[in-house]
Order: sequence, then structure tokens, then C-alpha cells
Amino acid sequence: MVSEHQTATGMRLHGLSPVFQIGSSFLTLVVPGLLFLVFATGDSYAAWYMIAFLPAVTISLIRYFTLRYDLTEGHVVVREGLLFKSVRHIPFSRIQNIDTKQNPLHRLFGVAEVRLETAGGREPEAVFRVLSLNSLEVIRAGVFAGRNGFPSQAEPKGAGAEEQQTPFFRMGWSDIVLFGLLSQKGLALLAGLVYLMWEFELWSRIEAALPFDPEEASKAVSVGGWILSGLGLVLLLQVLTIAWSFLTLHGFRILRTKEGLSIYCGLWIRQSATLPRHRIHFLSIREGLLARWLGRLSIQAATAGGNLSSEEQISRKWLIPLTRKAHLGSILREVQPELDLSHVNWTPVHPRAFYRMLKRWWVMMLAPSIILGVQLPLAGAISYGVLGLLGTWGMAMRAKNLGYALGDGAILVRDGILTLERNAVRYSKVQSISIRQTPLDRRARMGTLEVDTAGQSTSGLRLRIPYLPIAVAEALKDELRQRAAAAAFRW
Amino acid sequence: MQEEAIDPPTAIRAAPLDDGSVRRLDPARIPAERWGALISMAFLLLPLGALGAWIWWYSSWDPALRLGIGLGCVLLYLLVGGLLLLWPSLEHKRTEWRLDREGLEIRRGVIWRHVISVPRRRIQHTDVAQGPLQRRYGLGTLITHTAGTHSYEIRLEGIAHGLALRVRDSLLEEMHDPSAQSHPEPLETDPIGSLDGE
Repeated sequence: MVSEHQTATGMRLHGLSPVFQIGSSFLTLVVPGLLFLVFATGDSYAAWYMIAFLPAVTISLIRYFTLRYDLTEGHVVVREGLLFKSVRHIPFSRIQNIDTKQNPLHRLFGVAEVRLETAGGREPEAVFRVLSLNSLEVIRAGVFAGRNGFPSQAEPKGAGAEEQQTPFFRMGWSDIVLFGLLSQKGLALLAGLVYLMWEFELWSRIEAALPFDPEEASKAVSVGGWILSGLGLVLLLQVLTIAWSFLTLHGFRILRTKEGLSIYCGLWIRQSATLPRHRIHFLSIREGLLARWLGRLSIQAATAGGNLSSEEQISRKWLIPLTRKAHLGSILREVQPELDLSHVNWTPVHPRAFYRMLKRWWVMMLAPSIILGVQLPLAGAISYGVLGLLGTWGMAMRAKNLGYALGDGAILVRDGILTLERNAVRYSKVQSISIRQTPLDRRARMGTLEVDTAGQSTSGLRLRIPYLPIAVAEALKDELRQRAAAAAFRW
Repeated sequence: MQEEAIDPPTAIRAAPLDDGSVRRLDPARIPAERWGALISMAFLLLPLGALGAWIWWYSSWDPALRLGIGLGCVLLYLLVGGLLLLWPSLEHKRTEWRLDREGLEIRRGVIWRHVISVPRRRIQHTDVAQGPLQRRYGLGTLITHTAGTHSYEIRLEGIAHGLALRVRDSLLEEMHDPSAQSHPEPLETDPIGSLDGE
């Protein structure tokens, strides 16, 4: 299919794209359908599922086959569609991120799956399956040359201007292993397996196929045997989860390039992502309970138009999946030089915050305990007590953690019960400031301060300071407004 | 159009719009809100009232039940009517807004209070909207958009239409000519911005 106007750099997807396109839709759409066909117990469900799949498969195949792209002066033009045609113009200067993904087959042929993201929307604006690496370089060069629309501001400061040759951060193998263990992907796999077995009644088929009677056999196994096999299963899950972590995160490193931060990771599927530092609207440093005990933390960075909840691009979800706490300073120096988290004077919230949180918890726990207590009064009372005590400990942790600080370049908020969060938003990224008061807040003369930024939609990250004395909240609001007004905003 | 036909008295014209003085919503909003609420409530209440009346007079249910339902309907009407009369004037008392050189700030809420402050330089674009009821009373809604996610749309509704247009123009000034700002200190640019992609 020839596009209507041929430009000097008129480009098509790589010749092998149909293979990869079918391949990816094969995996996501057809395989489940085949599974149904093969394993279904012969009732009509399978047929209906297949019928439902077919339109979805055809539509996605059409979309994939009709995709054409061009690089014109200053734009990427993407055309797709057979019946419903769409032409999308993406100016180079608006492209924020270029992400790539390569599985071994891609690497064999020297191609990659490429996603372009702008500040608007949640999904990538253009997804190319697949581009040759040459085309990718052309796009990269075009995009970063096209960014010269911005007038040059201050002189580039010393260390920041040159490209780095070596990464300033590499994820060590111990961190990769720990990340896997902390995320327990094996459990998800197990849950999926259990579901499949239930859905297709595989268990009964396996039972029928066994040469011995499972009932008799299970009686013969001693308690010790059961415990051993249980442990064996747990061990297997850990091995699987560590393997997943290695495959996904092997070689995780971040380089500072002239485009921003370039993140590379992956063994089986290699991913790369670019993240211009000034596009970071929200930085969150998180330390889960276990991670804290092990002296580790993770970092998330929210960009406008990025999708932090996407599991596909792990390099998009986590800026730093896991690293030692000691590295925080050097990482922040590269990523957001203005942020210095080493000597923060955290100002606590209202002294009666703990009391209010406690009251709220005990009231909330009444409902489930009463429901339980109607049937089993003793159990209800005991559960209320236990939940209440756990909650008291949790609320005490939170009251200790809650705090804020106005840094030189950013506002910092600390929060969290089990997971300690330290969130930072630069003043130039503050969009608006709100104070909310519930009727209870008004009675206690407290309020919640919220700072709105771009890029929070998919991440669930919010900059909120609850239980502030209302006078402090008002003062903070005015101070933030002034600082935000003084700093120019740039997407 | 209103702002051309009415020549504002000199005193008002002399006072700059963005002086940061605290302003209230237009008093005409009170009847506008009452009518608006009445119309939307009518869709719900009329059928309910008709049902209640039918049960009261024509059905053959237990008299105590009919009495209960009838009284319930009357009470509901009284409650809604009372709220309709009271609430808009309560809102009027509790809503304030200010416009100054730094930005726009709106305080509202009778029971749940909400203050929102938008710096001028973060406003991406503005709309002035006017529904049919607002048109009748000469009111308008100013909607400012930012790049944020939770509060990307900030509405100020219930001010005079002409005033909404003037506020919008004042905000537009900022957007067309940022150097016309009266910030004494030089504009700080984002230091990191000079490093990447330039």
C-alpha cells in the first residue's frame, strides 16, 4: 500500500513486521482461544469464545497491517486503518519518550518494537511493530534535533552537559534477586495456574490419567511428606520469581545522555526507555517494610502522558526498581540535582493527628467486627481487639512518618504506614494547590493540602498532606503559590 | 452583548480586576440556583408525588401504611423545598474568590470546604460558558484549565457574565505576554531544563 505523498524519508515498517505483528497478536489473542479449543470439556462455551475472538483478531490484524509512518519536517505522521482511516501528526518537539522492546527474535533480525509518547493521553501515541534499528536512529535524531524549538536558557552547568559513557547506576544481582523475592511474581503465576486448572477441569483429567489412585496415594504420604512437598512448592515459586526478575531486569542501568536519562534492562526481552529529566513531574522514593529492613529502596518517576501502571514496560514503571539506601544521594544528584534528601527537616503535622487517625480506625473496624459478631460474638470481639491493636500500631507509625518540608527547589512530603514514601514535586511542576476540609477537619481546625501535577493519572501517586493545622495549610498554600508562580513551567 | 451595552460606572472601571480583593458570587445566582434545582428536582419529585397521591386516595392498602406514605411524601416535599430556599443563599455566603497578579483563588463549600489556588502562569486555557438559565440571569461560568490531573478543570460559576469575560481577558494577557508580569525578580527558569534535549 503506497501512501499518498512520498517524502524524502518516507518510511515503512520493517519488511518483517507482518511476522511480528501476527506473532504478537497470536500470543495475546489466538493462544487463549486455542487453549479453549484443546482443553474445553466439550460444551458450547468454547465455540462461543472463539466466535468472540475472531472479530478482535481481525480488527487488530487490520490495524497492524495498515500502519504506515513518515518522517516529515518536524513531524512523525502515522497512518492506519482500512475502513476507518486515521492520520496522526506528532510534532518532534512534543515527543517526550521513545521506548523500545526487543525479544531474541527481534535481536536476530536487528529490529525493535518502538513506542512514542507525548505529554497528553495515557497510551503511547505511536506503537511500531517493528522498526529496523536504522529507522529508530533516524527517528531519534529527528526528535532530538527537532527539540531546538526551545530558546536556550541558562548555560549548561558543568557535569550535566556531557554525555556519559558509563552508566551512573547499575542494578546489582543481589538487588535483582531481592526485587524478585519482594514482588513474589511466582504467586501470580500460581494463581493463574490454579485458575486454569479449575476452568478446564484439568485436575480431574490428571487424576483419571494417573496410573494409581490419588486418594490411596495421598493417605500413604506422611505428614512429613506433605510438609516437604509444600516447602518444595514454595522453593519452586521463589526460583521462578527470581528467574522472572533476572529475565526482566538483568543489566538494568541508567545513563545520562544528551536526551536525558536512558534506561536499559532485560535479558530475554530487552527494553530501553528515555526520560528527559525535566519531564519528571513527580518523584516518589518508596521503602516497603521488608525492603527497609534490608536497607533498600525503590524510586518511581511520573511523567506527563506516561503510564506508570503498565506492566509491559518495567523500565517505565520503576525508575529504580531496587537499590541500597546509600546510593540515594548519588542517584538523586544525577536524576534531580536540586533534591537533597540527606538532611531534610521534616515538619510534623498537627499534634492531634494520631488521635484522629486512631478514632477513625476504631470506628471503621466496628462494622466488620459487628458483622462477624452477630454470628460469633466472641470471634467478633476478639477480632475487633486484634484489628484495633494492629491499627493502633499502624497509625502510630503513620503519625511518626507524616511530615513535609519546603526545600529550595521542591516540596517534599513523607507518608506511609508499612511502606515509607517520600514524595517530591519541584515548584516548577506544581499546577494548582488545594485545601480540603471535611466537617471533622473543620471541627478539629485541620485541613488536607493537595498539590496537583501532571502525570498522576495512572500512577496513583498524590502529593497530599492530611491533618495539617489549618493556619499552616493556608500559609503553605500561599508560599507554594508564590514559588510556583516564580518558576516557569515546561512540559 | 452585555459588556458593550452597559457602561460600568467610573468607580468600578477604575478599580483593577486583579487587585486581590475578595469577591463574592453574583447575587443573581441565588434565584438562578433555586430555579435550576427546582427544575432538576421536578423530574424526580413530580412522579414520586403522583405515586404518593395515588396511593393515598385510590389504593386499597392498609390505612396506616397509606397515611405513612402520604406523610412521607409531604415531608419530602417540605424538606426539598426548604433546602431549595436555604442552600443557594448559604452557598452564596460561603463562596469567595480573588484574582491577583499571582493567580486565581476560589473558596467554596458549605459543609465540606475546598480552597483552590491556581497560579496564573499555570493556566493553559480558559473557557467562559453560559447555560440557558445563566443567560436569563446574566451569569456565566469561568473554566480554567491546567496541566494537572486531578484539578485540571477549575470552575468559577455564578459570576456575572461580563465579569467572567473580563477575568478571562486578564488571564489571557498573562498568556500572550508573560514579560508583562509585574514580577520584580527575574523569572527563574527550571535549571534542569537547560540540560536535557537542548
